[in-house]
Amino acid sequence: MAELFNISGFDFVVEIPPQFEEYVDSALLRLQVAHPVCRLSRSGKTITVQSSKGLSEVELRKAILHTIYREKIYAETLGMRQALVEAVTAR
Amino acid sequence: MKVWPLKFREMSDGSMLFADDAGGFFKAGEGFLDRYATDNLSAADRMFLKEGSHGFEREHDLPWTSFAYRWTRRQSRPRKMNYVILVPTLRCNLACGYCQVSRAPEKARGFDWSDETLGGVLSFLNGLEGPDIKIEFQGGEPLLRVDLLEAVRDFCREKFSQSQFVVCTNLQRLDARAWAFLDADDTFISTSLDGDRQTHERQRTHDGAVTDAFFRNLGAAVARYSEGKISALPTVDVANPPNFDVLLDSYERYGIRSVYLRPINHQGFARKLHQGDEILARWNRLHSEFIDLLIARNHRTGRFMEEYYFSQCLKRVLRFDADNHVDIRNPNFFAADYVVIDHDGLFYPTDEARMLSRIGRIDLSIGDVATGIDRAKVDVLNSGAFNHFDPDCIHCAYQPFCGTDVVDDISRYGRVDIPRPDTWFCGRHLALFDKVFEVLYRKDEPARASLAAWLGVVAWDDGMAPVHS
Repeated sequence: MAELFNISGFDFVVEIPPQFEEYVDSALLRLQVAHPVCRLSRSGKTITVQSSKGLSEVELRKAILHTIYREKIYAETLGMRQALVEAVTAR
Repeated sequence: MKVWPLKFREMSDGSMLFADDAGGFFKAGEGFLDRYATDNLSAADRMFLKEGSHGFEREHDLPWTSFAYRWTRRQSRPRKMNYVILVPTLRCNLACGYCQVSRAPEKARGFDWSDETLGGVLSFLNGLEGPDIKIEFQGGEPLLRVDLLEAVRDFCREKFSQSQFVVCTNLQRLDARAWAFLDADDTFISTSLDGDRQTHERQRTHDGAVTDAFFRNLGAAVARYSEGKISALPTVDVANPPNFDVLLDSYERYGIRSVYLRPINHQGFARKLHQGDEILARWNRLHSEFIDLLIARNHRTGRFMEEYYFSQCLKRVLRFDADNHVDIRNPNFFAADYVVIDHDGLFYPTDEARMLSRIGRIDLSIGDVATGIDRAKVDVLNSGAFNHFDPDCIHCAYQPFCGTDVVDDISRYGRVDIPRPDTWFCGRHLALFDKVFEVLYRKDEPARASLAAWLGVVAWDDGMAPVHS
């Protein structure tokens, strides 16, 4: 799972495991809305978190991971949802 | 096994609540979430999900079809129009500080249905297919025009095989004709009771003699009619809330066991009242404390009272068919099974839309009794009448139980595309469902007893709140 490192100049960095990489961009969009005081940027396989003043690292780490999880679950199951709606609304 | 998408939310005790789109839910730890998200479910996880009907092997197999059935039952089905809110007059004999619409003075002219409007209303009702109808008379004070109420009721009794009438009255002044109207078995009373005498007088009547008249009439009505005939609800000012113990005593004294705790409505002129900062957070805290108070009080007295909207949300979590409250259902298509007709014959999709239009913020009228319902306008509103694929709601564990409120969004933000978590509706319902699930998982005797009473079941069964350990 993702690891956190305290790095001078940043608040911290979250490493993204390979299986979640394709969901990071959409997750970042949502995170920036939810946490507008933070600067979140992607660099390869990491997310850099700056200006997280007022939010604990644990809370932010959890928020980032959960948002990425949600994006992955959404993307992987969208077809199921579409098939369901198509089936129950068919005439 | 393929697992239906699970949405999750961290609860106040650190556990995670999971729910699927059909409303199947359970609690588990963070470890399960990690395994689920990383495709590393254990054999025990898979067994739990299979037994909880959260997965299937192939599309259209029995578990898939079962899920589709449960998902479908979760949707509010379109019904024939059978609920009409009528505003025969805007005139009122009270001037409450937070009146939610622009009531007109009692002696004002031009705020009652004209003969043509009455004819249009009856013509509209005549066009409904039935077989049943519920009419809610709003105002103003509708009993100022008992003649109009009689005309509508007489017509409906002839037209429909089943009809029910609710008079939303302040019970301030009841003459013999008003009592005679209320006496009918098919006619019910809805009134406002803001708690104890002091609170009611401060917020509504502003005068000792007027307050006396209200309580005298309320007492007379309670003595005259059987339980269930009268309902009442308090409007709560978060800046100056009533003593809730006293409020519950007051309701119980009048035989009213269901209390619908409402914040001051934002849609009408009451929006101008200053209630201080962080109104939503304070409201959510007050409401949560009220539920805790109710549970403790019910346990202490053995006499069960409920907060109506909390019970409604609770039922929406545990039942399929709790779609009878127009403020929370999904989809909630406008002008489908209910509509409002104002004092001037204009149709509105909801009473809140009427309030918002009357303050001049936006015209949400959808036609009039002369020309009919403007379906093109209704279709525009209906584009936001469901939450399934809202980009925020689709990730929310409470989505299957929750709804939307386009009119409230327009009222507060002037638009309907605000991120859900930034809206009053979402903030209120997140807190409400947080409370519902907190109580569901409390597992102490007072909570169990109240849950059973509120759900209408003989006893609470812990299996109704599953845990994956």
